[in-house]
Amino acid sequence: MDAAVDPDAMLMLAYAHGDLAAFEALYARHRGMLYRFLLRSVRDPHRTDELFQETWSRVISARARYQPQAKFSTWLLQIAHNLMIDSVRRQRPMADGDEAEIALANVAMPEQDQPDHTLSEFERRRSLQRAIEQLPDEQRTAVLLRLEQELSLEEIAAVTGAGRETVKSRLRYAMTRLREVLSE
Amino acid sequence: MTTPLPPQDPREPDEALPGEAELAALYRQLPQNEPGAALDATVLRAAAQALETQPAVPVERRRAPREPGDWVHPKPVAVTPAAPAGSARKLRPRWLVGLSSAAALVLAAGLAWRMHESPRSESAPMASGSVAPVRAEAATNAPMPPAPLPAPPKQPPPRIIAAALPAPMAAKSRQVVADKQAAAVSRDEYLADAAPRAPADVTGQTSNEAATNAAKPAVAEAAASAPSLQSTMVAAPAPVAAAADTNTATSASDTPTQELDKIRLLFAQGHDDEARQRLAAFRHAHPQWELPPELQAKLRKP
Repeated sequence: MDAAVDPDAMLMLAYAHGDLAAFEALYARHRGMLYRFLLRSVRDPHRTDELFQETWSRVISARARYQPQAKFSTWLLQIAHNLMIDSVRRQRPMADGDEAEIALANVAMPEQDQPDHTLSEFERRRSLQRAIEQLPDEQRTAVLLRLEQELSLEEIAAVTGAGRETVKSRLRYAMTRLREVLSE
Repeated sequence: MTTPLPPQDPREPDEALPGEAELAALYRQLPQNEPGAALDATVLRAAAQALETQPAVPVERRRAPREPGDWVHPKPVAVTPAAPAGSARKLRPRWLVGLSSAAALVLAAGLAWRMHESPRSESAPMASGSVAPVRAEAATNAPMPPAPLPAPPKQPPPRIIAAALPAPMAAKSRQVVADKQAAAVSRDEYLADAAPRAPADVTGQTSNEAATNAAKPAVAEAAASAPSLQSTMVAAPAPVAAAADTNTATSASDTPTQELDKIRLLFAQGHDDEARQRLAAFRHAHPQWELPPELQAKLRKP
């Protein structure tokens, strides 16, 4: 297969032609990263479930007119980001502070990440998580897309609708703030 | 089939963000949260239902079984068109063809009926009123002054009338014209006697009639001085005579009662020969019609 081929786009095209197995494979590849992006952005499990389901519903309904002009993951995150912004505008403000910490703490964690490890590592992860939550929305979204999805500046710009330099500036400010919190 | 990505390589210029590697390593240690099984089932069920209810893209099913992993390549687009669209495309012209055929038949039948009816309706007035219109035309084309002039006693009938009519009609019209000429002679005699009295009779008449009567002596003098002109002119009956002719002219649309009235009028005007001929023709055409006693007496009289 050609290196320039996006396998996710091929899966999406196959699903558009009626191949349900292609969608199942596509869903398995992106379900975790999409869910984490939404959960750490909205910090509300219920709203995360709603947005997650709505995002995939949009993908399903748009299968006939899907054109692989960009990476599938970029398109998927763009849908999720737009839905998230609409949800923020419609609904109550996001949970913050202790409420968000409780929401994130209630999510099941892998066994190796349970707090039976060293306290310093646990505290560092918790500090990072809280620092991410306290970032401004644009910076938090950029950081999540960068660290979780490993997107490039251009891809983050495409998802968020901002310019490349704007994204780069947001990332610089956000990472500086995160490093300051972790060094305290 | 291959899907090209955007031309730029996104990762190269982004490597220099300060502290990113350390943050990324720590971030990967955060809990890897995932959606629940119920949420997965909901999404997958929605995807399956979307394919069952309405296929987004029509596909041509392959005959050979799919190889493992072959779902990466999309299936070719179906060549055959979708049935509903094709049937709708075919039904519309069929319906239009039927409607247009019916409309064309109705139009053709209407035109045929119209063309079949039109010669009768147009020829009937020509046949019945052929004498009167030609005379009226001759009267209008003739100069005004000679109108009341006396016609010569033996003036040939207008050729145009005889030429325009069939033989029986022409013979009949000749007879009518001859009768009218005779009546014109009597009227001329009357006018010649009345001309000197015209100024005295003006009192009870309208101004137009007075002007007409006043012009008659001068016209009579002009006619006397130019007899050759009179002989070359078509006899133009007087307005009164023309009106009487139109009143007594034979018309195919007349009812028997109207025809009898015209015959009475002819007898009253002194056209006994024509009246008897028309009475005989009426008797022949309507043998059951009971004639009034005075007309029966006229019919018996030779």
